[in-house]
Order: sequence, then structure tokens, then C-alpha cells
Amino acid sequence: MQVMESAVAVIDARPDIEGLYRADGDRLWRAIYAFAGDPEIASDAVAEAYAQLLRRGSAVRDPAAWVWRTAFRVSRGSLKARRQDDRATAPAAGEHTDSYLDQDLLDAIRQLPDGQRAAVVLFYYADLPVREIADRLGSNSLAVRANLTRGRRRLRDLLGDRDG
Amino acid sequence: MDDLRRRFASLDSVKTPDLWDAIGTRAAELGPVASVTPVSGPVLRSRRSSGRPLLVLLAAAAVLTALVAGALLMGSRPIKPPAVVPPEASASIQTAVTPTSTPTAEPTATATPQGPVRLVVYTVSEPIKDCQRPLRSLCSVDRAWVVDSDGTDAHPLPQGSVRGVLGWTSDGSRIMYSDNGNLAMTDPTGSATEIVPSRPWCAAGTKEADCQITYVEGGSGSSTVLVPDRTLCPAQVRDDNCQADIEDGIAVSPDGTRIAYVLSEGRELDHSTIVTYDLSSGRVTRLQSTRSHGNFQCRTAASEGVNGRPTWSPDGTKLAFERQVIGPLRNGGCQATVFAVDADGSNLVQLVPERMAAISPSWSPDGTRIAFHTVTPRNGSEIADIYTVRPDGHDLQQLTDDGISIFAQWTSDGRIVYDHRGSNQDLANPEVWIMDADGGNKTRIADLDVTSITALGCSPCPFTTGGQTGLGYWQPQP
Repeated sequence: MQVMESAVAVIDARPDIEGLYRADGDRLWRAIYAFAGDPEIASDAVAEAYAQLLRRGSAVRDPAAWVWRTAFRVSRGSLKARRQDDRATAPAAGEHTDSYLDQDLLDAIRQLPDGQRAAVVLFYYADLPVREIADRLGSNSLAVRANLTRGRRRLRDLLGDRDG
Repeated sequence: MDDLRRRFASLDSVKTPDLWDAIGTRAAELGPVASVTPVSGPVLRSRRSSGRPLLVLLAAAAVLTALVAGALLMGSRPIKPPAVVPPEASASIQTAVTPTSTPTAEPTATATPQGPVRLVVYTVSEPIKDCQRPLRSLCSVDRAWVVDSDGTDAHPLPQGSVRGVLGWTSDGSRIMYSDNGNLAMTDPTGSATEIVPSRPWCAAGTKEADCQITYVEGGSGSSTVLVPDRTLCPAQVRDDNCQADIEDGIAVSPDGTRIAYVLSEGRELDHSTIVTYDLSSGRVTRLQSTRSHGNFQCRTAASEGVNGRPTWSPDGTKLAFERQVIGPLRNGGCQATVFAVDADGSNLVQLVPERMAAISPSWSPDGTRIAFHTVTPRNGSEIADIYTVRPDGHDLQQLTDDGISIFAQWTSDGRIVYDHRGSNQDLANPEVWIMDADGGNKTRIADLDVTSITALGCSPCPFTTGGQTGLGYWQPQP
């Protein structure tokens, strides 16, 4: 029997977490919004992820990556729950519209499978390298690369060759 | 490609909310992460160090028979409410049965728990009073309560938030629950809390993403299996192309020797197969006949879709499961269906006609019938009714016709407990009803409390206390 070493998990609401939110929270929210197509899911996921980060404080080694990974996980769970329980009331992508927003793009993103959608959003919007995307999704580089390749190809089909 | 990146940049124009105040409030509601002590209870071995598939089996076989003893006996004693109810509960517990809505209900409000008093742990999502925040998830908090199976001595676990009770350890000494992805344990008083570090076996320098465990709840409610997710992938499949989709359900076989779950594999993880895992040998067996292709998009081929919710027959020789997102229905939504298959993958049978959309199969105690409910879209909602069918796909019987009955679960005496959305269509707080196996004697069990559910002999079971509906897990009997 292997005895577990304790994990340090203490409350430490460091002020730099608010700084992280101020610097990166909007970007994370928009990425989740693009991924989930629902502003409420985006707000829920970002709020839950940062609240959990506040609880954990210094126990999280890389808060920026951790909060992205957690927010995407929370939003995936919300999407799955909505698919199973509330499909009839699921909002159409782009309800949260803005005059400058590329609605065709959002509609196309929504047609991608979860893995591809997350990969292309993080690559093209968050501008993260593949290895970083893998870290933030709790995946690995090869899987991300495969999803990115297929997602890009699918977006090209949906949006037209000029985007490929 | 630059054009694609430019188009993504348009997302910067989307207005974002300032969530910081809500984040702080939510963090306060969640409470502190519990103080941590080393965990020496479950056996956690490293795949990296042992060379064998990692496996932590916590009480896989412990309880399946334990609950059968409490066969339902109605009529001898009034249901007694728990002595304590959640402080934020909106209504006191009622003991009277109030027939409502479509089903014909005969008032029934008595039950006699059988066997010694055991502890029951359950989770309820407690609403926050006067919550004005627009974010729905911030207006409730999940909290675990413990109550004696005779309905007395209810008390909340002191942890600020419990994200999901997983069950009991095999000896019944500790309650296992989820703390945001970590496995946590506590004694029934909540005074001795332990959090299992999520990746204690990761070698130094190993990325967290490459070294994960996942914990799952077994089919009996009290049987909990802890496995590393990659262990569940067949040896010949690269980790990159395999994912054990245990969030969609994992089931412990009745004899506790195997688990069944859904494996997602392929370059895009979009092939879905029901798989069994031998807990002693670590052997992974794909049921090839169940392999399908799906990616959560409605497709046109009936053979495509995403498998989920496998469940063992009582004798362990068969599995039933659902397949969702098969193809578009004429009036919106996605097709879904249920299957039965032998445990070796042979004799795959689609249990319902193509025109039906059905999910959530559940075996009767004698294994002769499978209950499920429909999810047929109509006018922006879904028509949900409960049916049963033989495992060979014959003798389909409709048990409800109200359109709002879901999630059938069998009791030990062969009746069916189910959720009934009621006249208010409140999915979060459905009414709990019970009926005979042929659909007769539909009865609402108003505010179904722990004593009456103990007598029903199922675990986990839905029940209601203080106006809140939750799932209860019964402490294993010694």
C-alpha cells in the first residue's frame, strides 16, 4: 500500500489572481463563448474556474493554465448537461451578437466536434501554441494537432476556400 | 490562414461581463479547501512504477446485495421525516402523499425500513436565498447531508461545498466525494477530511496532463471504483487516441469483478464502443458490435451515434446501454435509442423501433425486462414516457402516457420509481412517483424521505427532503 503524500491545499486569495483575471479574464470568457456558443455558459465557467482558483491559491502551480483548463472543463460539462436535459431551450450560437462579430465564423465553429472546436479557438483566438493548448485542455500535443488539422479543414469547408 | 486568424479576431468585439464580484462571492460560498491529511486508505499504485494497469478498487463488490434486504413493505408505519432538514430548504418535509397531475394516484405514505439502521449520505443543491445574480450556477451550492436510515439525526457535512458524493468506502467508515476533480474522503461526522492528491504517482517532471486519474461511481451507488483513465484504454491503442468516457456512465458488474464503460477512440476520439474491464486481471475487452461513430452532431446514418450509460443485467451476462445523437428527427432534436448485448459482445439487439427516441435503460431485478424513457421532441419540448421491453426486443409496453415521466429505476420488489416533472415542468425538482411493473397503481410519493426510500431497496435513489430532491447513497452493511 502506498501512502499518499499530502497535497498542499490552503486558502490563499492572492491579489495577483485578481490581476490575472483583469488581464486575462475577458480573453478566457470570449474563448469559452466561442467554444460553447452561449454567454451564460461562458460566465458560469469563468466564474466557477476563478472561484475555484481563489480557493486553492498557492496550491496551483500555474494559475493561468489551470484556470483555462478548469473553465473549459466546466463549460464542457455544461454543454453535455444541456444536450441531455435542456436541448429544446439551448440558445442558438450568436445570440450574444455584436455588430463587429463574424457570425458566420461562430456558426461554423459550432458545427465542429468538441475537441476540434476547443483546439481551433485556442489556436486562432487565444493564439496559443499546440503544446500550450494541450496543457490547457488537459490533453496532449498529438491529439491537439489532430483536432486542429481536422477542425481547420472543416472550417475551410464551411467558410469557403479563402479561409483555408 | 491569415484570413481565418483575422476572422477569429472579431471575437475581441464581443462585450464581456465583469465577473470579479461574482467570483469572490462564489469562492466564499464554496468555502475553504478542506485541511488536508495524508491518505493511506485506498490502495493507489502507479502504472508507471508497477508496470501493471493501475487499479484502485474500493468496494467493488460490497453492496449490491445489501440493499435487497430492505424489500418494500408498505403500510405499517408512517414515514418519519429526518429530524433535521437543510437550513435553507424552502419547505418542511411532508409525510402525506398528494396525488397530482395526470397519473391516477392512490395516497400511500407508509413504509417500513428493513434491517439495521445505516447511514445515508445524500447531496442536495441548496438554493441561495434572495439570490439576485444573473448567473444560474452562482445561485445554489451543493451540500452533502448524512442521515440515519430511520430518518433521524440528519446533519450536514461541514465542508463548504461537496460537488458530488461518490459513495462509501467498502468498510463504510468514510464517505467519498468530489472536490473539483480531486477525490476527497471524510468520516460521517465530517470531522476527518482527507483529500487524495490527484496525481501522487506522477514521476518528477511529468506533466500533469499526462498523468491523471479519474474516479467513478459504481453501479450500486455504494461501490466505488477508482481507476486511472488511461488504464481503461486497450494496450494497443495510443493514449492520444483513446479516452474512457466514464462521465457518461460506468457500471460495476453484479459480482463486482468487472466494470463496463464507454470508450472513445480513433484519431478524433469519435468512435464509441462499450468496453468491459476485468478488475482483477486488468484485461480490457471491446464489445466490437457496439462500436459506432459519432461526434455529438446529428448525423443521418442510424448506425452512428454516441454510446452511454451501460448497465449490467442482474446476472451479469448482458449489458444494456443507450446511444444518442444518431440522426435528426423530423421535428427537431436528435435520435436516440437503447440496446442490449451479451457481455461478450454478441447478440446486439436494438430494443426500440427506429421511430422512437429512447434513453436511460434500467434492468428489472429478475432481468426479464428493461425500462427506459422516451425523449421525443414536440413543440419546443420533449415528450417523455416510460416503457419496458424484453431484452430480446419483444413485448414493448408503454407504462405512462403523460409525456412527463423520466428516469425509471427498479425497486427490489420489481416496481418502478421514476421522476415525474409534474404540472410545473420543473426539471430540477421533479416529483417522485412509483408504479407497478405493468404501469398500474401510479402513486406520487410526496417528499419521499429517507425512511421510505430505504424500504424501496435501491441505491442511489432519488428522494426529497426539505423541498430539495437529491440522490442518496446507503452505507454498506457489515
